[in-house]
Amino acid sequence: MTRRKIGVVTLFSLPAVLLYAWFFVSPIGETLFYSLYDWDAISPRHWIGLGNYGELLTDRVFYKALGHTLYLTALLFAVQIPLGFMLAYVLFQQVRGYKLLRAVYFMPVITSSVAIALIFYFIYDPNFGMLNTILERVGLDRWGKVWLSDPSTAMTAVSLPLVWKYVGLMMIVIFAGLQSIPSETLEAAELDGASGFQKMTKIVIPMISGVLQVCFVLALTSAFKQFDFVLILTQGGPIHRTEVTGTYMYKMGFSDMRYGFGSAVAAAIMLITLLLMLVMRLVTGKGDKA
Amino acid sequence: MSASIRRWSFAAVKYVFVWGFAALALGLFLWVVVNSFKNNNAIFADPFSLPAKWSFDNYVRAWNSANISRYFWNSLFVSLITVAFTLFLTATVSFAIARFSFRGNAVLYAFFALGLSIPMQALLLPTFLKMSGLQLLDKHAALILVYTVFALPKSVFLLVAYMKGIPKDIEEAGIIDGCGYWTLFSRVILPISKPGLATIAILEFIGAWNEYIYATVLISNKSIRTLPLGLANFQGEYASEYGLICAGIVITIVPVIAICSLFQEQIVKGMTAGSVKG
Repeated sequence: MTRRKIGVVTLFSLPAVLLYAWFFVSPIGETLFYSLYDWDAISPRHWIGLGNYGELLTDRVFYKALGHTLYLTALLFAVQIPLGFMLAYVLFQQVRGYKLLRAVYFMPVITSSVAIALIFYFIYDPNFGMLNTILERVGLDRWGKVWLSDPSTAMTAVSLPLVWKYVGLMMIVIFAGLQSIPSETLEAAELDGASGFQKMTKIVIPMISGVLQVCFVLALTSAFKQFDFVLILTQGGPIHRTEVTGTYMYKMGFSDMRYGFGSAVAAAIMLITLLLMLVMRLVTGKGDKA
Repeated sequence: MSASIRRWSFAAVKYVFVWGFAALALGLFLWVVVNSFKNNNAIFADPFSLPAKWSFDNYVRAWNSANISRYFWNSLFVSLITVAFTLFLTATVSFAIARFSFRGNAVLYAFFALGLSIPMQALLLPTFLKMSGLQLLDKHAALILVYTVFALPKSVFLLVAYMKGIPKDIEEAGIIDGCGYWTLFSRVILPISKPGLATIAILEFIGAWNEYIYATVLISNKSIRTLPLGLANFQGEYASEYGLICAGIVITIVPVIAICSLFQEQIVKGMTAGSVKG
């Protein structure tokens, strides 16, 4: 490579590299750095080593929030991905109106979370909300609830917007995976008399396992990123019943002004996400050495 | 006979399933649209009825007195500038990564790919402190910077893949013709990469248009608010004004739906990129 080429490469990559290093990579380091201090962002920083992490390990609210985030993850795994898969699988068999359906499934995906949160607020509103109104009309008043504060429903109620929003994304990703299966493979299976169920479990699912893995990673990260819906619908209340790791970090930093501890929560979120991704890769990666 | 009935009922179940799920989404959006034309009394009397009189009152009030017009232009400004910066930065660095073979090549690519596995919300605190240190709080510049930088991992990933697919001979022909690297970049590679750039532009526009968390932390001044921020505050300021909130939701969603219906293919391509290998 000539010196001129080196100069060209440097010039072309420098703007992006500098900004990215300054505003993305360095905040990762800063999170770890601040997490070692007791600091309210006003008085001088006070070094406490791993003190914040020690506190975090015995913090019951954090465990509660982590539990809720894992519950949300489980919901995404158990509802969002299977639903996306089934929709994709049906659409893949040439259903009339495919383009229209895809566009409709996609509407929530591209709609701002704030708008979706407000729509769910209209669904859940105890007095005039759609859900209680419908229950009342069909004579099931006693099933009516204050969905967002009733302990038995609050966490599920606050999770559903996220579950619903990205079903379309899962569907589209899985659909792309289905398209990558050679049609001869499926035709051969049909000729051999494989049933629809066998085709699905023996051919389709194994052949798109890579795509499904991407979906699980997407769902996992979206659960640990979750924030907007909880912040708008419940602020994590009542009494931490809908607290998730994201809102807990936010509150520690911006309401309690505990930047050091908040940073430790953020570091824990990143670490746990990475660990779970690693575990998932180990579990699902068995067999295919890609 | 029974086999055909079975096949038939199976098909029916499938149709009910896919259209039922679509109807749920359509129903919810339609509910919002219908109620945005009703006044509060009508909504509380019956949230499922059609308006007795279709009225644009809520839209006029939302746009003027509730400041949505301000938030709308703020969002448009922030989103467009974000797209412009993202395209410039992504195109230049992807050109370097995809079209030159040098030793740091893979490292540079990995450097950006690293960002794909970091949940951006986890960086809220240091970003807030950094923007506060740079005196950028309550400035659109802070949002533009954050959105641009957080867009880079995904968009570099997309564009590098795209640019790598461009045949080498095109470049060599350019070099033989004596163009410099800048001409090669701007006259040859960029025009060919247009579809890739379009996908990035659309995805990033939607992302910036919808973003809420960073906006709520970095912006507190009312006149600087973006649409999601303004809309979220609606719930506090006009809590019981369902009709007004519905109008606000419609104003927020319509531009994105319009973009989506125009560029559905690009969006699908962008969102599925990287999920299917080979």
